[in-house]
Amino acid sequence: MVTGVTNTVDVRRRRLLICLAGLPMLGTALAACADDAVPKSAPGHRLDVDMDVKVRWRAVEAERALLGLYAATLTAHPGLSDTLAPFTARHTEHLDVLVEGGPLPFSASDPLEPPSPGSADVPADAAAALAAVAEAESAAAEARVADCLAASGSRFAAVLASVAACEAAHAATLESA
Amino acid sequence: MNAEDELTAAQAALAGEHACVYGYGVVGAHLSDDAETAARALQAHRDRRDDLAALIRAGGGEPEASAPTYELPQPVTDAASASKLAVLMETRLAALYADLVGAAQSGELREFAAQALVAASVARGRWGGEPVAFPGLSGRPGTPGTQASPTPQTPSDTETPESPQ
Repeated sequence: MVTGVTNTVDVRRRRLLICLAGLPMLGTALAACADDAVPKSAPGHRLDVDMDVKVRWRAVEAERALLGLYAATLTAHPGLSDTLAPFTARHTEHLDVLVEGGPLPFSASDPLEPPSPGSADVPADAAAALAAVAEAESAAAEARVADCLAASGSRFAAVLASVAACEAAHAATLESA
Repeated sequence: MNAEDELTAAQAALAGEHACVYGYGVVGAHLSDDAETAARALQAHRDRRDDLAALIRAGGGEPEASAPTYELPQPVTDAASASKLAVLMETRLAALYADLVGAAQSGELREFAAQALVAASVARGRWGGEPVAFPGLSGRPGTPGTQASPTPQTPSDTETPESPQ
């Protein structure tokens, strides 16, 4: 099913939608493909990549959780869709790069289980809901900096730091909104 | 990545901080409402410049000095162009720190670079820059001819500033 994967944006987007439902399985399939593709995660060091599997998985799970929070927030507050759409788009980009950047482990959880959108408690007040998202972004940024320090691959570390930087800017922007 | 790459990336980030210290002096002079914000940004960049110089020295390197003067990538004539310069400087600085995250050999330097990348991204937003998915990694203005921060000035490439709109 994932043979003939190309790098066109459309395919990547479509694959991402699939990823939301079946991420670990697809991640493994992509990892197999990635062996002879451009190694985005770490330049040259296969061992580093293997050591970074857990870190990558943690970051992927965090991105899925954030996307789930945004989805739940939009369900509760449809009026925020214009405001939040660019934010979710950037998280989708993060997830895209993190999933494609290297191998992911098999997960103990059901690979077909979606990233629990709607399960988050969303405040009834829109401003409070935005504040909750800002708080989650801020926490995610701190966690990605910690992941950056734990990463072995230098390129992967830079990606994690960049994701953290985006999320910190998200938090600041939402706080001042 | 090796020690040489690390030092090169650290010196490049330090040069970026030198340029920002200069640039925020210009920015602050053109802001009345946000003068305090510019002053805080200036101090933050001074602090980071000094911390980075200390890290370079601790690693056995000799921190590069600032240039005597800098050429602005665009004329700064009012609050809007001042904010725009701040966004450009933080964008460029983010790219330098992303490079340093990748090149750092020690956890201490990597953490410093990661925190500085985060700070640059937040500052960029504060000056009105639209958030981007991968600060420092995408859309970096590092290609020749698109320098986004003040560059050390040489007499030959001084240009006549465009007149303000």
